[in-house]
Amino acid sequence: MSVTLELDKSLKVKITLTLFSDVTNSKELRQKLVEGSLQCSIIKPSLVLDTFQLLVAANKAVLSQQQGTLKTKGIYSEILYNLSPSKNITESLKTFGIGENDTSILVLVLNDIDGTKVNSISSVVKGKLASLDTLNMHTNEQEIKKVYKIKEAEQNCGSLLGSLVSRIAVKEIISI
Amino acid sequence: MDIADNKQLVKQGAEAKIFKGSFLRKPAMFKERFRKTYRHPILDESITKERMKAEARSLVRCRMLGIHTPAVYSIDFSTRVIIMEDVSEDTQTMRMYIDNVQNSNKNDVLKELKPLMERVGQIIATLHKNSIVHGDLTTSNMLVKLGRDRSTPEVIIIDFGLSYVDGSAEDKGVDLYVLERAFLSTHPNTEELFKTLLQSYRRNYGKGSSEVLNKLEEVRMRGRKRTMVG
Amino acid sequence: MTVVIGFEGSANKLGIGIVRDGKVLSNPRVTYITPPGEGFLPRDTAKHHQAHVLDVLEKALLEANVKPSEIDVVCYTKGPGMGAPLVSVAVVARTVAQLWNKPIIGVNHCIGHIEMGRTITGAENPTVLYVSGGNTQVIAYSQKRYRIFGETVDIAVGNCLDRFARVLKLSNDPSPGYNIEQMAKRGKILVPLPYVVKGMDVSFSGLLSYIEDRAESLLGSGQYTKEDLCFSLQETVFAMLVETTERAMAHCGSKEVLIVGGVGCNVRLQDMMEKMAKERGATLFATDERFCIDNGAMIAQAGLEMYLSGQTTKWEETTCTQRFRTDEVEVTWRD
Repeated sequence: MSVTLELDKSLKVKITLTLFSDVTNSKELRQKLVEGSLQCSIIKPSLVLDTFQLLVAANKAVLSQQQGTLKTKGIYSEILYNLSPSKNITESLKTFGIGENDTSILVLVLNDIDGTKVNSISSVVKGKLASLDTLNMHTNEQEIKKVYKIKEAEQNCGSLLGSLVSRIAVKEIISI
Repeated sequence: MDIADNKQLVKQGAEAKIFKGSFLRKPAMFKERFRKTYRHPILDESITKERMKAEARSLVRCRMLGIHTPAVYSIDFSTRVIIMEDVSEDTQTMRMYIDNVQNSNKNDVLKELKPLMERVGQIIATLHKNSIVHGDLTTSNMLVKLGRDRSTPEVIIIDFGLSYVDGSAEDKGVDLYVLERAFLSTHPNTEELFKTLLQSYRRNYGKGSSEVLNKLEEVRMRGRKRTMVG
Repeated sequence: MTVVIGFEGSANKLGIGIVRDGKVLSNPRVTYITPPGEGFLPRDTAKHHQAHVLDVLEKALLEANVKPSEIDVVCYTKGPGMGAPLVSVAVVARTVAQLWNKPIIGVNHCIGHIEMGRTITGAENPTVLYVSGGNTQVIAYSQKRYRIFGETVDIAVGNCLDRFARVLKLSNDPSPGYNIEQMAKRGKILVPLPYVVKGMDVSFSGLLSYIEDRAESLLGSGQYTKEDLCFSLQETVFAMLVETTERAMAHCGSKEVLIVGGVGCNVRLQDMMEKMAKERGATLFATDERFCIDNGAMIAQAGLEMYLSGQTTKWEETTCTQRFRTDEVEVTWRD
């Protein structure tokens, strides 16, 4: 069910993605994240177009961590912040992170060698494990275009995914 | 990030090496800028960083304006590498494309290449209208997507390494002049084609284009022989 | 055995040189040096040349041990340069050509530098960086022309350096550029300055305004010395020049680079260019102050090439021109 992907080889980090649908305890999960008792990123699947988008955000976060240039408190919040085109951390976490009423969530953990991290997180999620192949069913392209501010001119050239990852990559050096 | 493994060197210019490989399982191009040891190290670092920032900004800004450019995947100042989308599939540099057309079909070269020239003029007009100066316009820095019919050419602009924002009319004039010089010296007898490009530029830019085209003329004059009077 | 005499006076250097078959027999020169803080103006420069030209001519003939009758061709700088000084020297060249009944050739000043550089260094087909008070060009030979690949879009690098020397009130003796170079050697701290390269072109006027405006406050702050400013200016402008030269070399696939013109005397510039060249597997060629700086022999040498390949200048065309592009001349002496 979970999918594990490798980040850039030199970083020696893997990410594991797990999709849950029909989630009923988002409020509780959010609280646990705030308290720090859950070590992962919980992302709104509606704003995820493709796993590549997550890979780019995670890769950037791990690189920042290694270079000592994290902008947020930890690696997991950094990944959420990186996904967002906004430089406002609070706003970014709110937009891309789990909302109290969300019924589907995408969980991301790093270097889950033996699956224990995912297992322990799964045990506190009240919802159904879904295949990552169904991610597209949750994706809301309209919402994505709105959040990432993709206007019509841009939509006509190149791919939407390219536009998203470009914004993730250049966030610090451009004001959109 | 040790750039060299699993990657193929495809181009080495004065500024950077370009490798082809994959990044997070997607085909990608890696542009690694050289350290220039002849420069003072502080100067070298600041120039390299500025160029990388300018390049990345331009790539994304162009995309936002509807100009096709490679997507940016990652920027790392410590290794001086920009990783971007590999757009080379089914493309040819405009230089080769024009050469091929010129060599194959000498009779109506102008007609064949007119839509392409118009598209390029439109693209540069969009850049300039939005205060982006490319800085190194040549037919090697523009790719043409093949397989499309000639009336709707898809053009991809690459290599924004010398680009900057907030260009003056003079800067834009020089931008056009650099392209003109590169164009005419690489492709003989293409004055008419270039005129088409400029006409499209004027049409698409609108009001501000007159000032730029006047500056282009001025820059040309600086280069052109002045007839002695009296 | 062709003996050629060349007259040069396009800026503040007056030089007359005699060359026989590529060998320099004499090359005397006098420079019009103005007080610190002042540049040289056309009228005063022309007066200076007028006052010295006959002495320099006599010296050239004596040192070369050549009689007027032994001279085959008279060459003079047609341009580019300052109007009055150019003409003040051209008048003498025309006069002696008539007196001695010799053909006369008007030579392009830049080409004089290039041809002398090639002859003295032996460089075969180099990418040329021509840098002086009046010119900044990156040149490569192609199909009978010295093509300008890159140049300054506003002022010459030498002009930039000279004007900054005036701001610091450095002596103009032997030249402002030389004194900036000496100061720069003692500079340590790099001041961030505008670095403007546009394609293969460079721009110095923004940089000059920047440093002119801020010199007083930078020095006043106690953070930087005059030496630091000179150092920073050189590091920045020379990096710009080396970068554009490298780009031209990459474009042409060139393995040789030649620096000519007064600014080419600068050892720091030569060092930087050499480093760049080595990294590309190329060779740097440079001349010393005898030939970097404007001189008469270089005009003679270029004139000789022109003459031997069948060019002369018609009497009616022995004028001078302030603007004379390097690529206007047909290089009939090369394939």
